[in-house]
Amino acid sequence: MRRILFFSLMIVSLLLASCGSTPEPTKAPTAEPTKAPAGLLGKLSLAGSTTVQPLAEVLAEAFMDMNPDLVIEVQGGGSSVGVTSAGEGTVDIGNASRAIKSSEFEKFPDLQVFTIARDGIAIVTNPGTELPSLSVGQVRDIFAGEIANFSDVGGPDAPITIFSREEGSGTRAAFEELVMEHEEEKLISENALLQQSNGQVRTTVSTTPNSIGYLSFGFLDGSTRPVAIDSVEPTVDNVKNDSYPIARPLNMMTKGAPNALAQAFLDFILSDAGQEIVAEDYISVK
Amino acid sequence: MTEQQPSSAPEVMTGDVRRPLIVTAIALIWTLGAVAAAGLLLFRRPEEADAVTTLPATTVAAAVVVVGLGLLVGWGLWTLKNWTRTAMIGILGLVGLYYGTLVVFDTFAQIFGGEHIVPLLEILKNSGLALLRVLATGAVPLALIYGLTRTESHFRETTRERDVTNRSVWYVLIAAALSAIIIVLLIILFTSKEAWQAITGVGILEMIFGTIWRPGSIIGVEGAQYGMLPMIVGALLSTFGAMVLGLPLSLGAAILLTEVAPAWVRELFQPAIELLAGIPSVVYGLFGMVILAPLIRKIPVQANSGFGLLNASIILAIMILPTVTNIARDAIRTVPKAYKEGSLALGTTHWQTIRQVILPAARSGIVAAVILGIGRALGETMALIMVIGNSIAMPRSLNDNPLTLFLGTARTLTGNIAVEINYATGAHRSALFFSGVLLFFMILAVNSLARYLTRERLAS
Amino acid sequence: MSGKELSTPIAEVMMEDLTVRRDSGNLARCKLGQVVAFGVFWLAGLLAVAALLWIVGYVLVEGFQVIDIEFLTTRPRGGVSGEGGMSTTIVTTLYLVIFTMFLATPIGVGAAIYLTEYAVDAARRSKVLARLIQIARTGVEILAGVPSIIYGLFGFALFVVAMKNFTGGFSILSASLAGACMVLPIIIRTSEEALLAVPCSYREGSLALGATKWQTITQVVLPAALPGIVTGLILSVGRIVAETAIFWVTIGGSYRLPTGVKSAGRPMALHVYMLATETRAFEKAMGTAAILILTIVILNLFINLSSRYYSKQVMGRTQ
Repeated sequence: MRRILFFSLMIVSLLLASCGSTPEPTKAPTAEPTKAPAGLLGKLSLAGSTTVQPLAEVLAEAFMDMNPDLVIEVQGGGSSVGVTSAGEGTVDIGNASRAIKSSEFEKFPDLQVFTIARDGIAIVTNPGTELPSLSVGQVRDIFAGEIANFSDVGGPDAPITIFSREEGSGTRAAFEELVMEHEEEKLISENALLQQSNGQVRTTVSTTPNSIGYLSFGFLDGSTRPVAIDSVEPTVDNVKNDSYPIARPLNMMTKGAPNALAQAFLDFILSDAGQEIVAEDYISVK
Repeated sequence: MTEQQPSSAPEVMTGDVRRPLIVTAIALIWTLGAVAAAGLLLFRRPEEADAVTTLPATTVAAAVVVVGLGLLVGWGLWTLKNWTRTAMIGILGLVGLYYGTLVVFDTFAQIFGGEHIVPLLEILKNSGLALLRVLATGAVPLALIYGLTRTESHFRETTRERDVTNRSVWYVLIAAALSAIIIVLLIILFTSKEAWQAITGVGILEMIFGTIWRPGSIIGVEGAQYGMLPMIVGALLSTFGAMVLGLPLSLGAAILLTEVAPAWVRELFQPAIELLAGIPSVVYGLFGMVILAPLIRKIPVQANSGFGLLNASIILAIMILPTVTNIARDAIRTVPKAYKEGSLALGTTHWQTIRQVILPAARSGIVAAVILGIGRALGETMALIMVIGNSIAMPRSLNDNPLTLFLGTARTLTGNIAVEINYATGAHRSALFFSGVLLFFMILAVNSLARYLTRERLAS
Repeated sequence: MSGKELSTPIAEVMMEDLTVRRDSGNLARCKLGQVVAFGVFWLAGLLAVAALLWIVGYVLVEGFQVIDIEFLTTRPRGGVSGEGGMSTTIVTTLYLVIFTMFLATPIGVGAAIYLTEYAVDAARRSKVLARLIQIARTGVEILAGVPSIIYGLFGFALFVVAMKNFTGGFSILSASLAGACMVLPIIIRTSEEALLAVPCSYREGSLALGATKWQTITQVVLPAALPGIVTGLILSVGRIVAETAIFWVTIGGSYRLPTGVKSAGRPMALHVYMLATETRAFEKAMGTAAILILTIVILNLFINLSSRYYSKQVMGRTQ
């Protein structure tokens, strides 16, 4: 009797289980779609420059709103990672915040480059430090460690703490090319405190007194104080009219021709809607 | 229900075998169905979509394997083989676990998927539903496992089968025991393989004693230099600072907890120290960045940024405190009571006893604790990269006072790896792997020394 | 009896036997020295506890101001100022813990079973096996001391790069494999202790009743050692939740909800790091850190309670 009870209980729970079990693999619940879905399905992965990262994330969010079944992942790592990952095909699109070098084209001959925006590099100091306009040469000497006190360039009497980026950074590469190699080639001081992303530079410069660093325009948010270069303020307009000297392209790269999803995303970025988003913090290419 | 002894004679089926047959039949159907469903699900995941369309052969092969396994299991159960029973329990357990975790993940994704805020009521409702689903999906395999374990007496195995089972268990387990050393060998193998390019290209001496670290990932690798001495010095200095600040603290706390404090204080402080051990290192880093850095900046020395060796030493000292305290405590506790009682009987004060009898007796254990603390400090990464500044220069004092060495910034070997590995290529990456190999053997040496001292103490 | 009387030759000889140097004989000075020394020790202990309270307290106080249902159930939205909550990091941490424990537990407990139950006989039977077992034990000890960045480097070289097709590169699978290597020695050590603590009489009784060795292990020894083994598992979970360096290089860093074992993710500890350094959202970093610390505290509580239950059981033989 007990056994029959046991077996019937099992059969009942078996039936229950087959009704309620075999759950689908995890899927986040979709919000009500606000636009008619364009129907793109799949996954897109991007990696590379930390300058391009927040821009790519905002563009990705907008594109994913239009295609709810599409997932776009954006990771950082620096422009070098972007070039290498794109060249080797480990990601769909690589991001870089500098021009691609000839040596990189040699290594990855079928690398295709799309410039999606232009960006300026601002020299920033801690909000407590007020500096007059500097020349590119002075900035170069400060970062080389030759000018050690702000008073030498018209600022307060305080020794300078330099924040720079790690070597894989496109921002650093662009900065080195445009500033450190200006007229004379100098190396960034070995006493510079190295940070791994624009965000880190912003965090540390904004909280460390008497510090100086360089940031992509997209990261200027009032927490740091930008410095005018050759009396030109670092603004989007000044980059557009080429009066601000420190600017570089923001590039997206693919291995060979982009796949369908990547092409769609790139088309969106280069469209009016996409460039509108770009123009919020950066300089559009149109 | 009559008990039947497992016999070494060939199986004999009697009427009493009917009931476990029902068990086994249901188990068979359920298992086959579950395995098939799992297989289908696996192949229907979006990531595997490409795999399915391009490799139909795999699906066919998998289906054949599943059917074949099912037939084998069915035959085993029909003939009441004991190994089949054990295998069934294992399979049922795994399948039940799989479905149970799927339900858990599904629920978590619904609550924490993050696309919209989930109100508390809905969280409770989802959790309740999930519990029911887990019970439903878990109840069946659990019931079947229960049935299978209770009907063990109905299954038979020949002595030969039992021997085979025992032997295979033995082999599997010894493989598990060797897994640790296999992993050690794999670690050494893979990191050395990656480091080989740097060892042959740049040279070990140049890397260990070179003072300039400019890998030039961007500028170009022709003039790249891979001198790690600044990082080695940075690691040694931060460890030294941690020792100076942390040893008195840890050893004092150890002596306090073993000799001086009353029992209730011990009960209070002990869990506190264990909690310190469990705190994630990023929290220490956060603490160093947000609280210690501004405090250190108050020291009136030029170019004091608040980041640097002092900051790192302070947090390292707190981080190694649990390790050193616990081991030193053990060392002091194992000193025979007779030593202490004899010394006190002679009229010395408690402190004299501690200083001149107990501590010398526990000396090797305490030294082992210190050395383990050094090993821990050398291996720390995340907290340090948040506070130490990560500059590539050799650490130097900020002014004439040599103590300001600790206000300067530095970079440790571990920090070097963590900060640069994500984008390093070619010789640069290889150099980083070499520093990993170096670190591995350094810490191995330190830990072996500590182990040797502990063993010596236990022997004597 | 004043200190002066201690300075008799006999007392000196007695003292010398124990190599206890006698102070000038002034008992009061000795007492003062003791008071000072003990005061220093109390200071050390109090400083240690104070450091804990300061760190944990600051993080909890700052963090709890940020925590609400929205923070817990919405995902990070990235961007330059760290908007959003931390929900997907909780899911990722859960995935990571479950997969890592799934990989590490059978191997760890199996190894511990071998080392306690089978190793002694094996060592007696053959010199080769004895050597092998010695090497196995050394392996566990070496592994226990490896710093987590080396596990990360190893995981990066093997699981992320070399086995890219199998693990999907930066993914939870790679991270779990590396994490399993890291917690393996912890599980082996604690399981070994738990198994050794099971009295021999249990095993002998079971064998005397005719059970095979394997039956004894699975039905008598393991259940008896279970509380201790579970303690070790919880310790490992605590380690996985708290570690960052190893996952920094193996799990990617994407804050999206992971859809399977091959997707990248961002566990809570990594999220704290990224929030603190990349964005200026220190409060959110504190909030995530507060949840992290709470998790560790709860795990520690489990460990304390279960080990107390365990020792009562072994001592009091409540079964």
